[in-house]
Amino acid sequence: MSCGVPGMEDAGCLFLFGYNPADAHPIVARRILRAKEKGAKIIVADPRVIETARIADIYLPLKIGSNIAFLNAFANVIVSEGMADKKFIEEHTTGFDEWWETIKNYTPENTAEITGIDPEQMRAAARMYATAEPSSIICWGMGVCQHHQNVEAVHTCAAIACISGQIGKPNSGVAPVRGQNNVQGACDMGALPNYFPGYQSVTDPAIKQKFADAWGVPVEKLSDHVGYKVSDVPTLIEQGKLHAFYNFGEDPVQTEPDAKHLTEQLAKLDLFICQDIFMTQSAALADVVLPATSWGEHEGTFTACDRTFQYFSAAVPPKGECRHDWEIIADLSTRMGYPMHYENAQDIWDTELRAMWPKAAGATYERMQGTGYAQWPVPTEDHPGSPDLFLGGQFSTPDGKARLKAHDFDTPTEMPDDEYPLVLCTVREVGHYSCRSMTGNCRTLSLLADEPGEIHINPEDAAARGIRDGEIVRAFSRRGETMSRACVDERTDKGTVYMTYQWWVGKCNNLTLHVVDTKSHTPEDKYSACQVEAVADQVWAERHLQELYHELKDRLAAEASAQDAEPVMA
Amino acid sequence: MGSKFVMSDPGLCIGCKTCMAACLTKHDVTGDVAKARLNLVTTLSVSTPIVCHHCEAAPCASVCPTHALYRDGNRVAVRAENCIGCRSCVMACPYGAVDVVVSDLTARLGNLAIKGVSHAAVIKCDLCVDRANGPACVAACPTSSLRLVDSDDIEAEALRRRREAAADKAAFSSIPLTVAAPAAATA
Repeated sequence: MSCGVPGMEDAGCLFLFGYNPADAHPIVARRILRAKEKGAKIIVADPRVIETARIADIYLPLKIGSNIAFLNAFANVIVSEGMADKKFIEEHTTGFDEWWETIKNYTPENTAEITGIDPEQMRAAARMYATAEPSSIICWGMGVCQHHQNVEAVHTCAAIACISGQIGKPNSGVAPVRGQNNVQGACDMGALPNYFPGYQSVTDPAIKQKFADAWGVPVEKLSDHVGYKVSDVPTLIEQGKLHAFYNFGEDPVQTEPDAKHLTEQLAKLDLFICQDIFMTQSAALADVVLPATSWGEHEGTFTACDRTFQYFSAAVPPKGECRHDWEIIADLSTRMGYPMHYENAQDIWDTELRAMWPKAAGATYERMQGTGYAQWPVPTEDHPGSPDLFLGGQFSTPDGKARLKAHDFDTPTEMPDDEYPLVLCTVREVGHYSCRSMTGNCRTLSLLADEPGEIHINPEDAAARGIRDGEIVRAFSRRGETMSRACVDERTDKGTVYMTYQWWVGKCNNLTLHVVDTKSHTPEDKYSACQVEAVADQVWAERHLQELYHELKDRLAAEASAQDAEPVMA
Repeated sequence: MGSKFVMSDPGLCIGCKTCMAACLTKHDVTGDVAKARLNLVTTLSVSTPIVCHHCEAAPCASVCPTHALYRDGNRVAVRAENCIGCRSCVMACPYGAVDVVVSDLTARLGNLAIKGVSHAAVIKCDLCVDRANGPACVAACPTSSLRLVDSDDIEAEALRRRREAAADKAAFSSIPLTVAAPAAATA
């Protein structure tokens, strides 16, 4: 994010595009309420009437899959109605003329059929965003990232901020609010196929030399090319390029698209290692399971989406054979020939991050004690940290200028047809997290919401299928099928159904399409063609789902029971 | 004073069910039923938990044949041991804020299970009467959309609305009113 989360309260306008804070980040949703109370204008563009849409000054119910057409037309209005910040464009950006060559072809009027948006409403929203004082912020979430034109939409959101001059000043710019807790931290630490810690490129010889020196290894031992992405694992196995997979802190069988295909491919691996805190469906397939500690059993740091580092301490000692992730990795490395030794989490923080990444050098553990924090860039110990990036229009490109990029609209990969007339969009719900291995073990949360989860469907779509609220339904696609509980929901747009991706029995990823974009390789989780039908025998369906759930839990418990044996002491 | 009840501001509600989680946790103890006493309801424009209003002339208490529901000072209270699970209260409540849960329990003598019994329980808001700091839901709400109101609060709000309505009457005066409202104080 170019701004801080607390600073969102002080913006003049918040434009939420494909971002549902109430379900994804309730704490940010609270900031947005405060912004509204302080007088900020709120614009929401989302196919569903999300919680924040109810308090929006302008709500734009765009058709799912029309992001680029929408954003291009929105950008067009800002320029053609004379609201572009010419000085900012001139001084702080490059490529405007080429950008406009594409954008000029998209107007609210000629895209209205694609987006479903009333042109006057779109114009009003563009005016509200571009002219807001003192600043506007575009916030987006997975409603941008999990469409196939995701990188294109990010480029366009950033371009809109630049051409409006709504970036480069406090509480302004772009707010891509992250999809998972501590994704920002994982990226900061280099858990990416293209970067060392601190976004330092693996293909830059000088950077490679720096890390080789720090780690005491010959430079040629460090890989000089960008690695694979996790979303490509099943494809790479199928192509015979991947034979071993070391997976930690993730349950891909639950959370990745096209679960059936993925499961088939994982079975072909020569070696599958899972490091987790629970016996997940993925861990149950593994050759080796390495039990790790949970957040309450170790110390460390989290990085919020706005680049804020925070420290957390262990609450209880680890149980049984569980060990901290870093201890497992260090031991494994040592046994594979590179002796790796750290004293504790702080040692890793100091030597691998602060010493190697100048922007984090000032983020000491001392500073993060209690409720303390540090927000990068924080180059020195007396630096206050940086809630806002790009102040004064200084960008992180070599010439310091933002590059404007425009893209033509393209339809989603799998359009609905007669056989599969509905769009399945996978989303989040506030009561359960990700693969549900953690929140599913929380008694309160599982009493509030449990298997098989819900499929949200528009009342007209439900009526056409004879589906009543609360009934079990069958959903299916070209990949597979599942059963879920219908939530007939007037906030849901016609033609689309929504499922959250944490239900093991009511698993939406049995249905999802596994297609990734060419740049970020992010799956198109927001758009798969599917069909939903009523189930006649509800008594059978309820019992059947309970049986499936118990079978699955029993199987996972049996897999985990190996750890009940007394450990053999070396 | 009069009855107190939990009110929500539907604009501030983000539908997160933290109130329900807090309520469930409060009641997740031996001898009670682990179920939320308030339920989030969403319509196209409203998100709000629906919960007992502790009506002065409570229809649920009026229809209860065994006096399991009764007025206790400022609230409608439950005498759990009297409930026979007839669901008259569920049908009578205009808010849909009362539920009856039937559970199969095993009666025990020490560690020995002696018989299975069917147990019915009225599930409704008890205002966390045994909780020192008031209702758990109000304390848990992350957006402060919940508050406990009583008749004094309701009367104060009515008074404020009457004053607002009176101020708006200025335009209807047949004789021009010359005393202008003072400029808003800058703070």
